[in-house]
Amino acid sequence: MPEKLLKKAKEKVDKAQIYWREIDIMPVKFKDGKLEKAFRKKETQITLTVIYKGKIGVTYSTTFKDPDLLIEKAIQSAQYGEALDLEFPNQEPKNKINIYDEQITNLTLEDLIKNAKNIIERAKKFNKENFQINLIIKREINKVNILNTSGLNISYIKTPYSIHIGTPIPDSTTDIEFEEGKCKYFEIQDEILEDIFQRRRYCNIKVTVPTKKMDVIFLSEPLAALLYRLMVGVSGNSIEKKTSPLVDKLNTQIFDKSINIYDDPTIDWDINSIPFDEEGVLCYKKEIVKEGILKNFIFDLRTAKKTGNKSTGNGFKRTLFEAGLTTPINPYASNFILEKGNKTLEEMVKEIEEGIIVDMVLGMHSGNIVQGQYSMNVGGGYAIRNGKVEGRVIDAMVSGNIYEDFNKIKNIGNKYYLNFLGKSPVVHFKDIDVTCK
Amino acid sequence: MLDKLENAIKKIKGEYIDVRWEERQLTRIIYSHKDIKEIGTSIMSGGNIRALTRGALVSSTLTNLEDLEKSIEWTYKSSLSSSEYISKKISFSEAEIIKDKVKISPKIDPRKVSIEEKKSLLEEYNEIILSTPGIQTSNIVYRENSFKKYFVNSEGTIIEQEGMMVGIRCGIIAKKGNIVQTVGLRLGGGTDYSKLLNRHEEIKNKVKIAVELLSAPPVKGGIYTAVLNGDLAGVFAHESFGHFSEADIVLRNRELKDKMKLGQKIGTDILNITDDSNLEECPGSFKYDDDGVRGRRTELIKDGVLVGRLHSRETAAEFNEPLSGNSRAANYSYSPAVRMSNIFIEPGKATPEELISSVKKGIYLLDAKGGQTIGDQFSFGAQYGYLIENGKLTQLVRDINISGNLFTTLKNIIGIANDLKISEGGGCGKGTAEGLQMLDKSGTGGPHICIKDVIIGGVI
Repeated sequence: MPEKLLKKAKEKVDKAQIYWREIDIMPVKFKDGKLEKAFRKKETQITLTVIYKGKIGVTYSTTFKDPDLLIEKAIQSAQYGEALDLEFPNQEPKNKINIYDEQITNLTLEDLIKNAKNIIERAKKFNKENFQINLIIKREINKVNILNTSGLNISYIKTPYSIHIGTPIPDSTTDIEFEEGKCKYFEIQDEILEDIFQRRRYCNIKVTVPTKKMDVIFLSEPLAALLYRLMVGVSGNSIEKKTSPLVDKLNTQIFDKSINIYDDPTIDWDINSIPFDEEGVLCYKKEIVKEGILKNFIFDLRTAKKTGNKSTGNGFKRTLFEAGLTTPINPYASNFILEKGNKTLEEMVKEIEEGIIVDMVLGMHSGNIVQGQYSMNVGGGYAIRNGKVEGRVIDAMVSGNIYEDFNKIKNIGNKYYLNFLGKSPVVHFKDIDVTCK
Repeated sequence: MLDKLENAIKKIKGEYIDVRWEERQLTRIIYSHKDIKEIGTSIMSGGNIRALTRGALVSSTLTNLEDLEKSIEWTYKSSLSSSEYISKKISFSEAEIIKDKVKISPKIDPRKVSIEEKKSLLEEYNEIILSTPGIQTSNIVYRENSFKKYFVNSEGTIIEQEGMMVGIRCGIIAKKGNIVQTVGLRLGGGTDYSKLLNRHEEIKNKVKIAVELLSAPPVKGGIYTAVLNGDLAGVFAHESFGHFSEADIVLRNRELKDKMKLGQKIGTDILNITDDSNLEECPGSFKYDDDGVRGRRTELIKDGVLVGRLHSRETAAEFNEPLSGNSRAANYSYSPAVRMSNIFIEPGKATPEELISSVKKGIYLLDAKGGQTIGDQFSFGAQYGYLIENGKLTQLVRDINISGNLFTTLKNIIGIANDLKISEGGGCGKGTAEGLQMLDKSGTGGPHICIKDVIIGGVI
């Protein structure tokens, strides 16, 4: 049916590209150690992009059943659309990336339930206080296809498998959590379970810290809130509009030389790995920051054309809040990785006289993001005094600008953790503005 | 369609099954600077099925209507098999059987307005923004989301419900040297296209603020007495308390059910917060929720006391509290969760001028810029503010983010003005096991309020 759509489209428009995905997602949710609910999502998501008389048009749908309607909507869109004569890609992936595990496709609802029960049983060893344990195990089978008038006909099947474990922060509706995900089956390690409950134990005591500049360790997920500001800064959208402070900063020092960040969706079994982006452009590993020097921006087809560059394979139907059927294409990270260093978290803590560990933040989507500014509530965090964790820090905010603060690096952790942009270790900064009651 | 859904459900002898099928039409126009990034209309449809069997609740979604019977069968069988593993049974509170057809009748129906007219309107507003010196760029989005929902359950409820959300969001970006400031404006949020017309003056005023902010200093981090304007007070109500009034959120932490018992004092005597889905032409208004229950006005806080909660049929049964008609899904791709409709702080007696003049040293904060909560801690941003000295507004300040704690901040409200306004636009994100559900149809409102001891993050 997509072939029929393309054939009909060719008769009416200059160029056309069909992107469609068939998703089959099955999460199982456990609350307080017990099965709460199960879900299954089986959907078709179609995006038809056309170039009609030199203008671009797009329409979205959930079915191929009425190709004439789809084409009509896409042409109508192009009639008023931007004059942008894009060339649709035509290169097939040459290197295979391993992102499909048949074992995942065979997992049934009962299998996921049993896996979850097994983890909860194992967690009891580290949870003598009987803290609440919440769990989501999810398996996905995602088939993605792109067909276009440049002759491209490419597809992949990906099998993400993820485990999200948490225990509620006291008085809170959010968990101290850990998420692991790969495109192949895996078992969660005991040290992860142990770590979650240790962090929960820190929350038994509430502490405040003074308002001042101090050492701050960002764990991976809140660190991604800072890296998001970099991503927006290197995004083709911000470069095109000249709103980014990095517009003229390629090959200049922007961060401490210990910082290396690259975007790499080619790693076997990584949950973010993919052979091509959502415009059909081949993905590849690229340096974003090397030894603190800005090396590359990220572009989709549109912003590449507008700025006289090539697409970097970063065209995704994704924003901070959405990644759905009708989300427009934007330049977005495929798999941002901040390279690990050589310190453990314990070693970092021991060095700190007065500081905090930030485990979770609120308000990362507010603020002057494109300029690198942040001002976030420490929703989950721990106070450090004289080299030891004292308890949960409350009523605190961390503020700053990444273009100053990434020049205040003290230590970089030696292990990777998944976050919403990719993965990173924990990072220890000095002299971060902390406001507290 | 209703017959099809009804017949499909009847084939399975389940305890409880419901199907919600949605036909959606999205018209969107996105301007990025002078360029049209996207313009057009898309048509989508899909369904969500729930089966509750022996205490086990399973849901599934589909986009192929031909798979309906197969999907209902899978959902029912999965709920049956997973009931073996359930130790805490889910049940649904009893609800009225409803048979109804709901249509909308806006003053100007956006679906009858041509795309040329919509494009032209955006271009007028964009021209105001981009022609102002100091403005670097703009993002303007016109969004018209109309739907028809068909809901049928095995108890006999049959509802066909039409709905719509139409609005414009303007992002105004000013730049001078290395300083970039972004402010925004939301128009509409209900069903009526006429609300989007003739808004030129407001846009001009907002553009002026954006440019002025380029010369303003960033706010100094610290503890302040803050006066919030109505738009910001609405988001404050939503983030500080609104999510905590959603019963399924309270149930996320086993300790909270006791802590959030009805009857306890959590705010000052002058504080009253209400949720109401029956308000006319507001972003969060609707007739029936996605459990097939009538939406209504629910008092949540009265004189500072927790008196009500927002429920689905599932949570109402769990708490043994009355239904409130707040079980809502973002679209067919999700099963419902408990969501606010239009949440607002009820007006008080003071005037906004009286609140400001009562503050010796503090800050006046205006216009929402996003927010977030984890229950006890919450955070939200203000687009701009003015320092208050001896009851008068002085310096304009920028880059403002506010933080608070549910169990203390609501008790620190020391003044509420009489100028309640439900904000235009709206929207709310909620994390669920199925992913982040972004719900367009969620409104906030408030009068000016004054709060002491507010934490504002910033340069030290």
